[in-house]
Amino acid sequence: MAIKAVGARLPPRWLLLSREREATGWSPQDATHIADAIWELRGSDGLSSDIIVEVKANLVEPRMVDRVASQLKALSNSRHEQAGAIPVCMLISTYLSPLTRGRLTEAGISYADSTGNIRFAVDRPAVYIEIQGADRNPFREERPLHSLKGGRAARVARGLLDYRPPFGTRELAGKTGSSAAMVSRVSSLLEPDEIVTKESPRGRIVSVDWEALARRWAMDYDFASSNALTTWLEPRGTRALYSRLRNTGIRYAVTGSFAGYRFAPVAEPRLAALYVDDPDTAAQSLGLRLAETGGNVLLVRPFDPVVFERVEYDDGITFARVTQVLLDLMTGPGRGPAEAEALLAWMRDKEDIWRLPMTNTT
Amino acid sequence: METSYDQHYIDARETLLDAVEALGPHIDAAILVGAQAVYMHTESVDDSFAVAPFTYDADIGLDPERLEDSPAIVDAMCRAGFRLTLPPGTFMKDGGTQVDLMVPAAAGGSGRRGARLGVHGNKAARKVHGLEGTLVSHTRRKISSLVSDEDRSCILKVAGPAALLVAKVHKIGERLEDPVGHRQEQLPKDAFDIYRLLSAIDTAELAEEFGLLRSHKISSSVTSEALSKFRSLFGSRSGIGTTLLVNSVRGLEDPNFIIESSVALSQDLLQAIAQ
Repeated sequence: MAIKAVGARLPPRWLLLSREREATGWSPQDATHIADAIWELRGSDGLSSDIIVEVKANLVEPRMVDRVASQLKALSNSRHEQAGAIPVCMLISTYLSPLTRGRLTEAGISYADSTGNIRFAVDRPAVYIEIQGADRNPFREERPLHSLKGGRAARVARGLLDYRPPFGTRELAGKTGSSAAMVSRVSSLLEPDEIVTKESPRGRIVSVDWEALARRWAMDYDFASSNALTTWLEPRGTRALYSRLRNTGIRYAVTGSFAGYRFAPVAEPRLAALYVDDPDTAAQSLGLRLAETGGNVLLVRPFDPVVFERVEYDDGITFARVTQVLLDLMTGPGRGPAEAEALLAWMRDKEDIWRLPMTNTT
Repeated sequence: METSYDQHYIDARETLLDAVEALGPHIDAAILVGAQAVYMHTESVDDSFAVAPFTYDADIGLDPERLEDSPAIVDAMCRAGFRLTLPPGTFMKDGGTQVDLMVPAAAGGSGRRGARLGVHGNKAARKVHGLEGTLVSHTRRKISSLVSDEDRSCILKVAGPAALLVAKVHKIGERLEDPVGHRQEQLPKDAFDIYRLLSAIDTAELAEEFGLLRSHKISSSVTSEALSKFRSLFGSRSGIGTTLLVNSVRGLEDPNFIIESSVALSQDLLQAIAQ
């Protein structure tokens, strides 16, 4: 493709040909690397030059240019020793950013990418082609997602759980502070299993199987290892903790058994779990002490601030949203999974209560 | 919040109200001590624990200086249906709930067991070491019947939480020192009553009351003794008091939490008193 794109822009009666590597009879002395392709440029006056071509399917970051340049230079030198003329070096990739292109130019390397960026400079025969393609990587967000790990995917997943479909990709992106591309990627991951259904390939999301989504997300999430947990002691018990929480200025959200208990009581909760931004600061402000054993408070530094999104308030206490609590219980230790089952039963029954309407306020 | 009480506790409260009625004009000398007094201070935390408030009896301390000359205490109690079943000081009504009348040892005169109460004789009340602080620290509280739909109540002095803590520590200490002469099975419950007080009362408030107890001549030495015993019983994870406490919640509460919580609260209190 690149050879055609460059060849088409040559002056009349110039030729750009691909050489069979074997046919050249050239084998580089540095056998650790062989050029991906060797082209031959023939000018109208009969002069010709070899072009050593390196093809990179993956993104070439600016910092990688030095390495690519030295590989190409090594090949070029080895070819020079055998054939006399100094071959031109060229890099071909799917996309080359402006910074990468700048570095390649500095290194004297020609390039072409599939968005149409071309720089082709040869001294003998003398030709210079420079064409501007895309300055932004059009493939970047199109890489398929393989899991729901990480904050960006979680923000979309939480949005898919929290809001009642139908809604548009951009609408959900706005609500969750995500890019539309990220919503599409998460959606594409979930569509094959019919967890998310769209009215048409580029249309609105018309249904979300929230229970299947929760179970799918639970495969990529683990309350105890995705977040950073520390155990603390409130010697006067969780009641004393709650009265402090009613007056605290710090950002927090109660999750785990205490949060699930509000909707689906299983057994009297003992361990209070709180999302906080900074456990040490929170512990100091709440009068907690670090506990090796016997702790009754878990301070959780979240994997992503999404845990503070769309929180619920009850009796002066801030609780994480029921969907976040569900995930935390499903993947949590001890009685968590059993409590999650009870909460799931409540959620199946009360979908109209906990699923939020998507209003057009964004 | 609707709390369901143990029947023995409900009965013990009825007996207390009967005894207060029986004491009549002596009411100003009476101070509620023991478990029922503890529970008056710990109502706010009762439903935090799996162990419900529980007692079989009513303990009343008497300040000899405030007793009237008549009616004679034993006679008044008997007229109200009590019998002096175990002199000195233990009365019982038909039905089995017991009332113990007690006088702080330092105010009880020269006898070994019975308090010397002049016209009331030596059998009306028992001398108890460790109750002295209750003469110094108490507040009048309304004590109500726990029987539903029953609005009987009285106003009675209730010993302060630190004074009760001192008394409980002495009780546990004495029983541990003389295992042959005393029954031991109540000790875990007494340890839990101490823990209830530590949990319910603000540490600074307790420490301040300890200061008051130490500043009065009559309660100063029992308070210092109690603090030293308290340190060895409850100040560490391996203390006997801590062990008794864990025994009292076996199978009901997380023992590790109870240990850590009790040791933290005990150390906080000792530190606050030392400051």
